[in-house]
Amino acid sequence: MHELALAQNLLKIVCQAAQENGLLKVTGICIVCGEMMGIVPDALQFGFEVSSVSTVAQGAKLEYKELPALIKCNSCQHQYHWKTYGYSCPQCFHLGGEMVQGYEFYVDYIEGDEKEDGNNDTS
Amino acid sequence: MTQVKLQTNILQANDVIAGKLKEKFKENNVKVINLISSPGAGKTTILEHSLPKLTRKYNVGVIEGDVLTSRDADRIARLNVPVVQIETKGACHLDANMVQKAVEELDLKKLDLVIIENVGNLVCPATFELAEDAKVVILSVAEGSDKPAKYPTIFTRAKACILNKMDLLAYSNFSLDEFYEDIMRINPKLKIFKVSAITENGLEYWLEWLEGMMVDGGQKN
Repeated sequence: MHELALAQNLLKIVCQAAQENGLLKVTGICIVCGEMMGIVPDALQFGFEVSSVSTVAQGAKLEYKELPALIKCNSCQHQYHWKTYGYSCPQCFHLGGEMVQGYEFYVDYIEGDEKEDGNNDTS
Repeated sequence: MTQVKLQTNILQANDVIAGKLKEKFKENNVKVINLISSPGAGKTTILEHSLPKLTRKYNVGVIEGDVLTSRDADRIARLNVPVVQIETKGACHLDANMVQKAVEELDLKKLDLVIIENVGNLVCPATFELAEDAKVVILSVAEGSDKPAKYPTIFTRAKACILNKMDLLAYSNFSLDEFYEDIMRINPKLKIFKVSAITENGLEYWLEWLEGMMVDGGQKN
């Protein structure tokens, strides 16, 4: 249910980046999300569609990359999938470790069309 | 077609405010707990029974989050504890911005500990940092022992878990074995306190842990 709030945050970031980079229209947004964040892509997409009406990002396609939650064993340093093994290392059977991936939630990149006013000083 | 690499945290608006709040709490030597559970697990009841004991030693302030009404804040205010109610008017979680506004109404200079009671919800509050030193999750036996496995995020992010309503254990199908097995898998570092808030059984272990956290915080008079 909090995806709408997240979609509004996302929209702010995207609109600001579009302005800073001279994008007239944003066509695609790539989001990276850790498995532990429990984000529902469809709900985020819906929230984004609703909030982005009449902005440069209206109609942009959300691409969504999920990163698996990974535990690094604090005995043998092996990294393994939390969802499959919990905190029990499948290699050395040690119980316990640190979650090194799974709480990410960021915009990786945006794609769009540049202004055609010749005032393009970004690289 | 242009691609712009951003790698911008989508929660940055929240996290920036949480960072500032954290500094403010630190400057004032205030520890902060974020209490999270489903509706009806006993967050407010645990507070009602913990606060009279905590306030013998510490100056405690409470921030109450609810979708509607100030009923919880009224219950806490009866204990003569400074309390601020946040009515989210529909939002399913507290965010750092709401907490920042609530904190303005508390006199941090006079407090040692702030307890934030989040909106009753086992999912969304896990995502939003509120500048807390620890998230504490409350589960009641009436909800069933499968909840950590079904809603793991909060159980991985919390430092402690209060298993409440232990007085109802015999009348429920809650399996302590399943619960402990799942917790060992999900987050073996999680401290667990078996408590009955209304009989106050086991409450002392939770309070001891909380006091342990307060040690480097000191006390104000």
